[in-house]
Amino acid sequence: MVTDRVPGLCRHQIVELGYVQSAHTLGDASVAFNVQPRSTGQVLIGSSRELVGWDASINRDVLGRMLRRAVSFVPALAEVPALRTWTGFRPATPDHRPFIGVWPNMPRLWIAAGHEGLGITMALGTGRLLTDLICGRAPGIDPTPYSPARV
Amino acid sequence: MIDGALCGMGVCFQCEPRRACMERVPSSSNIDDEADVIVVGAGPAGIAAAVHAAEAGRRVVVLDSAQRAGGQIWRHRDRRTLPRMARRWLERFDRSGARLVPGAEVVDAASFRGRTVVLATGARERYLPFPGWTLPGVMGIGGAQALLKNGLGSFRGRRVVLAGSGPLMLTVAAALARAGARIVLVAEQASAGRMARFACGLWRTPSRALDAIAYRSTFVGAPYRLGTWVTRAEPSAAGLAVTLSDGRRAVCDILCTGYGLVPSTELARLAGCDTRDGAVIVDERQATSVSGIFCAGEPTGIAGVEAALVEGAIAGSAAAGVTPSPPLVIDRAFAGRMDEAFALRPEVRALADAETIVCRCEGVPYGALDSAWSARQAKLYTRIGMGPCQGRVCGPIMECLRGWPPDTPRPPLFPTPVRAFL
Repeated sequence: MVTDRVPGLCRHQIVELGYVQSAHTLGDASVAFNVQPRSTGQVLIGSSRELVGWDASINRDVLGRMLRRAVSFVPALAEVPALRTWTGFRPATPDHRPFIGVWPNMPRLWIAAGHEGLGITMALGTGRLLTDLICGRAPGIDPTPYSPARV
Repeated sequence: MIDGALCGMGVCFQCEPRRACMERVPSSSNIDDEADVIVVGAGPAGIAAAVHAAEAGRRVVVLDSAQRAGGQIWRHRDRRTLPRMARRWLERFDRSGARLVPGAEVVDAASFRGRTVVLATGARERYLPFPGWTLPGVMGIGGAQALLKNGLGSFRGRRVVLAGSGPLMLTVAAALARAGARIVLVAEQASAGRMARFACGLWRTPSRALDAIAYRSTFVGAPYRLGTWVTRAEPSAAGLAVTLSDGRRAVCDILCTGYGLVPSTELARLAGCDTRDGAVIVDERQATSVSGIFCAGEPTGIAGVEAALVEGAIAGSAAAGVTPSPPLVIDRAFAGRMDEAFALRPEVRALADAETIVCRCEGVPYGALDSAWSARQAKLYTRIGMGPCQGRVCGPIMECLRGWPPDTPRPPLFPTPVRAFL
């Protein structure tokens, strides 16, 4: 959900530690508190996850849960006008670990994808691991858990 | 006068404070009602639907963002000021047992699932951008009328130019003149030839011909120029300086502009109803493509109050599971002649220059759309349509100027406090 412009309400991102847990939960739906101020003065309120295939419709129950969680951390959000709600697809793998490495049977195709909701968090490690693998160096991070060959 | 008012009906969010044009800002909450039929909108179509469903014995609840039933066309503070037909319908509505929830804004369609709903969400004004259309003092034609009806604007002694298209201009010019405004001129973009053909057709509906003459006589003295449109407005020491397509200039305090009506289909589209050419598709029972959802009046295509009343009656009866007797027939011939008479000429779609603002909420100039090829893509690049009006003003502009159909509406349809979702 994105709100109307409310400059000053929130100066930096606030995310609950449980977000990592939420991002790796196998279940029908999960929510975690995560608010981010935008350069426009609007506030982005997240987040939710649902395993519903390609259905992009908004689940109002999950939306309500997500917002109750957000308001429990930042009560002032309750009075802020909401402008829009939407959903999007999260790139995920069956075992919730990203694919980082060479694609099986295509020795010139390298892949770094499927980080779900933690792409930016894992960006630096992903970059280092992929560089090591491409350059043929001994990787500083064990590549086995992320090998695209595992599925 | 309310600062920045454009639409006068709570959709453009340009007033300061926002939606100051409304008597009271509507609230949003969950429908917790035992009603058999939910009617959204208490204009002519909604009233007719509610009356027919209630008279068939159904429990009916009617939701409207305004404080009183009537919609835009029958907006009033004192019922005695309304035409007799409007008074008769409102009295029948009072007696019908249908329950009106005033000040209620429907911002989502999720709660419609499994219920019987009649969407009678009406229409709003179409604005076309020209250099200067965002200046203070420029407002909608219907916007000025709405402010006048709600007693929220004082036009006494104001010099007013009306420039745009459609029969509403004459009605509003007459009303403004009665309220003490000085009508400087009325510029209708439709050509004299088209208007003459239209006027000749009015003998088929003599009451309308008489209306037109009565309106015209109220502001005798003000020129009514056909085939003329405003090309630019600039601030000047004497007031708002308006340049017209024939090269003439006029100075005024208020410039009213508008190019006919646009069906309000956001709620129907959010509910999943199919549309064609900007109107909701309905069958002969006014049923939409979504089971249980009916639609009546302007959202199915601009056709005026008489057609809206008939469509509402059919929709209300169908929602109640009964057949209206005698069978009702919708007269769309008049609407067809209106469309032809007031068809927009290409020149009025080409008045904006690269610097002209097309999205007033987000301040997007027309030139920023140059590299875009769809409404969605323009939105991603420029933020057009992402402001509080949710594209209600700029959506029809993009459609009219670039031929882009509007992007999918997303809930809430109007800015709504987060607490309404908890």
